[in-house]
Amino acid sequence: MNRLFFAILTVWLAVTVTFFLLRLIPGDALSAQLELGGASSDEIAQARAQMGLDDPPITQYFRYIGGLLTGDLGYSLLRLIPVSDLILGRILPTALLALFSICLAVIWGVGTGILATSSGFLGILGRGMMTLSLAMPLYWTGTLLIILNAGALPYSGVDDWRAWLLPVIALGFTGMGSISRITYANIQAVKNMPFVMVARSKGLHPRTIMRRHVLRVALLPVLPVISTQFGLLLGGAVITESLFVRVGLGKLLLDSVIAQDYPVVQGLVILSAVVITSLSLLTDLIAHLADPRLRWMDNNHL
Amino acid sequence: MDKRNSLFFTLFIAFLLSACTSSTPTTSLRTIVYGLTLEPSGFDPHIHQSSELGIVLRQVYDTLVYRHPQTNDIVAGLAERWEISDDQLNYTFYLKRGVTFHDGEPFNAQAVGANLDRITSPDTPSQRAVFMLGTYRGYTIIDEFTIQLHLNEPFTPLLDSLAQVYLGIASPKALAEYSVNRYQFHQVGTGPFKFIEYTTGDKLVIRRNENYTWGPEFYGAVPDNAVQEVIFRFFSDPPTRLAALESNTAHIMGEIPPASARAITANSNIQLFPVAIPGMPMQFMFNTTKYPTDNVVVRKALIQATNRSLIADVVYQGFSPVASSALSANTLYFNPQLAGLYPYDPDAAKTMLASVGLVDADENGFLDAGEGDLTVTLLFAPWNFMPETAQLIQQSWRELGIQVVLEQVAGFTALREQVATGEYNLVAFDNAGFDPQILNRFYISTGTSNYMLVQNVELDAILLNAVKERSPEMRYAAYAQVQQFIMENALILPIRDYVNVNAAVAQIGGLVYDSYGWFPLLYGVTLN
Repeated sequence: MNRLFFAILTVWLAVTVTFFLLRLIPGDALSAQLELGGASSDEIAQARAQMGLDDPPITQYFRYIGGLLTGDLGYSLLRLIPVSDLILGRILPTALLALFSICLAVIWGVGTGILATSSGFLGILGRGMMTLSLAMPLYWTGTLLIILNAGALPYSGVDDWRAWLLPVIALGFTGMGSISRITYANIQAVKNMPFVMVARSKGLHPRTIMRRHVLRVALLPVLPVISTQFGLLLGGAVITESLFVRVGLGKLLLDSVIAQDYPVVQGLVILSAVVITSLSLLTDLIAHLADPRLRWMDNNHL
Repeated sequence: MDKRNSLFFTLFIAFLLSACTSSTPTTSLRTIVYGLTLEPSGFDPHIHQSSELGIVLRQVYDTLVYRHPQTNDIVAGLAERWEISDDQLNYTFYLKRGVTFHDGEPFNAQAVGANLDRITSPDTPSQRAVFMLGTYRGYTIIDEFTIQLHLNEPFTPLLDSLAQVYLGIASPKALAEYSVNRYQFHQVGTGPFKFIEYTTGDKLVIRRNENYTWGPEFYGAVPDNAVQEVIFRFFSDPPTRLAALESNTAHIMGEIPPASARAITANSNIQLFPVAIPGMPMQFMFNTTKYPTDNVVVRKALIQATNRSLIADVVYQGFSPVASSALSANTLYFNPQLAGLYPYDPDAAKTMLASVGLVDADENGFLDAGEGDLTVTLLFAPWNFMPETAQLIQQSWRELGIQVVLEQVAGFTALREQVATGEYNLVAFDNAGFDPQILNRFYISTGTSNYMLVQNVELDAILLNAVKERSPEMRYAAYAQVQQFIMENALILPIRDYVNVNAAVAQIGGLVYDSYGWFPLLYGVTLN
């Protein structure tokens, strides 16, 4: 209950801070479009007044919050259509992109993490892949994929399932770095713990030790990393969607920020605040279910 | 955990596959993908203002008149002929008969009236169309196929405006059926292609109108292998545009970066279509009120200190010619006599700067300005390779002892705000259009885009009169004089005429661009 209250507080803070921050930056998308179209200064001023952009920020703020409570996110200054229409139509492509990528990142990341702990060539391969993923920025990975792909796979749009492969690989590869690093570090730490030594002295097969004893403990801290990674992947959608010519929230955010289309940016901030806070609530919940130590701490009020 | 995740993954892939198979079109049309370089703010021709929307909608709508793509003359469109009254206040249009909208509604004078009503309605937040109508006052329907437009004052560019897709004629039934905001998703015109769907952020689809027989004469007959469906997508990342063509992800694409275009000239699989866009060239406008560019001698020296042919070669790979005037060479009433006015001559520039007392007395490598060094600020947004251009300018002016501050902003909204502060010496901007009336909002004292902050009553008078003047000879004389004034007072540093380097895969034929440069005429495009 306490946590829920803080989650709501976080979202409200995000709304309020961005609302006023965005209005500190001079300029708006509406006037810019009108000037490009050939309007006179008077006509621009009239349009601004009509949209309520000249009202004091505090009036605008309460009007906005009032609308928000009834589910009204306002109108885009650039596109002149309701913000909710713009966002709703893009949630699914971005959510699916992030979901597929995080799945790939987890499988790839954990696999690479395990691989990296082995000795010899496989270990070098694993650690190399890990370093590459951590070092290569997303726009570089994406551009490289497009060039290397050389027409083998189509990549624009969301209608063709093959068009999902390259963007998911690009995002998944970028996301797997930190997951593999934490997996690798945890396995290294757990490997030398007394209970592993016991298992080894009992003569268990190394693979069984890894699967049953090491990974069980070592993978628990990976969970919160996955949740932060998911947030980062949503941000990564900004680059991925522009690069691979996809529809989505990331591309919308980029266009709206550049054009200073406040209502849309504001709507997207609210959405991400809600998603991120619910995600962290959810991971906490799962972590408590999965980790007996945390459950024990809860039960004993520690 | 591994296992469970892969289970979810498989499930979602399965879900996605099922979603895709159901949406795959069953008919086999001759379909191409046309790459737009950005997603414009919207696609309603009467409301939104971008050039990109015209690339699509030029195919969906007919206009009352057209500009012939070869001769640039105004020719018949939906109006088969027209008359202009002697006082230039009444334009009578005699409309074609037998034209139907894509929804089956008949085209007539009432339809034209309904469109004019929509554009000028206070409920329509028109960003361009309404301003293109100039001094328009209202209309009278004479009979079913005759309509008269009334003006408050003579406005010669009216026909030029009526030839552009922003004043395209839409079905009155569709306009009435959908709200002002929703119409852009359900557009109905009379053009050679029907509007099928627009999914914001994703794509826009048009399909050939098989009943189209009323096109302008220059269209001719529909060729064999003509394209039946065009899907427009938004390729906003320049470096990947060429890869998209090479991989057949797109068939036609605009704004190929010049360096990429230069690299493929030898590649037989891709054809290049560099199209010069008429209008104002890519240029820097001088702030004539801020030190040191408030001094005309300094401005002239700066132009002469700029190696513009080097910029055209290095940054634009020779695809665009060096600009010489306030209008590009293929714009109506371009004044060709100004070429060569400011040849590249750094020594002359140095002498000119010295003549107004700008010298390096303290020998620190920079010219002295009061207590400090002479500093000039360049303001630009990251489009049209302005950052690269600005860097070359910075280097060459540095050699003369001028400290150049590069100030890059994210886009036009930010550029506009920075201009409003007055804290710049030069600002990069260009503008497209065939009729030179586009100069007005930049050079008239009270103009919305008077970034030069020029205040000249004489210039105002010439520009305002040129819009009312009917005789082409008189208009040419007026605009020639305007261009001469602009260049002799060094109000701008013209860099290059804007050239849009389009490219298409080899299977594409019949690709033609109209007089305004931005807009392809896809009527005769074939896919072999």
